[in-house]
Amino acid sequence: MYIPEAQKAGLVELQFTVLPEDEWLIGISDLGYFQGIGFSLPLAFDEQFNAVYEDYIIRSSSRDSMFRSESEDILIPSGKSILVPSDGDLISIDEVPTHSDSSEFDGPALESSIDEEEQFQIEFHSDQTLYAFLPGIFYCSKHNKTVDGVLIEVNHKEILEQTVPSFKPEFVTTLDIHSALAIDSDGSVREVGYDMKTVGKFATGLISTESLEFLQDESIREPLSFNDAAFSEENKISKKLLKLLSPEELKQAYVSGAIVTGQLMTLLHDINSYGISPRGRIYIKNSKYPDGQVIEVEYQSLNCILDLSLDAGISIPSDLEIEHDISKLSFAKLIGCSREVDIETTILDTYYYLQGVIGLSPTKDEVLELLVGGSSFE
Amino acid sequence: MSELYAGSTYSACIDMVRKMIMNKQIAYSAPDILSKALSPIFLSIIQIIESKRQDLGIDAERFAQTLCFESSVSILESASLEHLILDLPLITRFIAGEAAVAYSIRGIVDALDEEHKVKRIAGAYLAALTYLILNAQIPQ
Repeated sequence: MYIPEAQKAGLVELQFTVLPEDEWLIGISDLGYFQGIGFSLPLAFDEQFNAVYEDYIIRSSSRDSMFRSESEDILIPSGKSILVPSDGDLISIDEVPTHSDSSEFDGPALESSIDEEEQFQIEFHSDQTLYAFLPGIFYCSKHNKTVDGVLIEVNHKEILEQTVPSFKPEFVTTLDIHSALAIDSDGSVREVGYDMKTVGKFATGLISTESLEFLQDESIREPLSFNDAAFSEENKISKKLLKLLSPEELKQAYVSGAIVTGQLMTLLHDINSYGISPRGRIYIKNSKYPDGQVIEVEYQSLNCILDLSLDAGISIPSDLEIEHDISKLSFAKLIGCSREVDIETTILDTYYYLQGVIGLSPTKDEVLELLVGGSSFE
Repeated sequence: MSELYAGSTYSACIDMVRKMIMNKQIAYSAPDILSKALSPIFLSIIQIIESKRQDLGIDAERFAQTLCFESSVSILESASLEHLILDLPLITRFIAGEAAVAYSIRGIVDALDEEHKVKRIAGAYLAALTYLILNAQIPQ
């Protein structure tokens, strides 16, 4: 996967299997923003925790009844019950290694100064689910809709002693090319520019007249079944490619092929109709929606101008459960001044950037030019 | 019994091909020979999936794909071609896409049926692996 050093609009394809008829997503994304795919950061203690925690420090430090546990690097009151995230299980402090016997703590016995009534529990977030996130205008084949971003939960499933992950970076391909490939009538390959006239002019079936030989083939008169022919076409194609292309040229050939072109045209048509502006939908694939789902979202920072509120972040009125799961996710923005961003900020930043480079309603040719031209927007 | 047989066949195939490649026993000049030498791995993967299809359910294709990918990586490593692993997903998808068109042109109408998906995944990986290994042998 090609990762640009600056912000750059590029064509990105997401496919979960190698078969062309299976679900695919194709979109224009800015891979510079996260320097690749964005992965959610471990959730920090939330505000509620911080308030309780600060209060605890103030009260306990005044009585000198605390100590620093070196291994945990967190202040733990000895003998108190505490909730530590361990797959949602509660662990009492007795199971956590402490240093209460350490000689470096002089003074009164720690236990004696602890009031039983003051026992309090620290609640951590136990749902530390990892999500992969790609902002940008993506077209989803299964739902026939464009979305503002793709959010995929990263988990693993053990099948027959083999770990099968729900998401692998291999699923994401950056289709960054500078020129396309086309096949001439004599079967030779040549480089061409990438525009609406030349897209989709590469097909291995066109490479030579060999492909017409089957018409004289006796077997064609009988309808063939796949079981007799399995692997045959794949092997023929690999032989043809071997004669014509180096691995470096493969990406050009792939992007110039009919399948990617078909996908891309669907996306371009959608951009033609609806322009570069937030769709108010994201694609999500997680344990609730293992097959992927497009959900409607609202961007509260856009709405707050209208209703004069100070709310920010995405809201999902139709699915509060998902809203709770994903609205607190944060990612590390690595371009410009790096900081922590949430889903809403990322999506809106990406749209501002894309509008800056291609405008609000670009033509198909303008989008194609942007994807190969490498024009970088400062 | 059958699944145990299929599983051990698979590991035996992988080991055999890895040894053949490391000892340079496979003649790289002919695509057909390499493809034939690599095919037992993918045939045994198909066998594993078929014997476990009931248990795998909707995960069958995902599992097939993971197994094919891991096997291809292992073969590329034994041929000291680790740098080509990055090209593997794209070339596999390319071949799978072109092959789907080619089967239709040839009039093999049932090629896109649900039941053949695993075979097509395995076929695409086999062809991609053949291409990548042979291409690396061609003097540039």
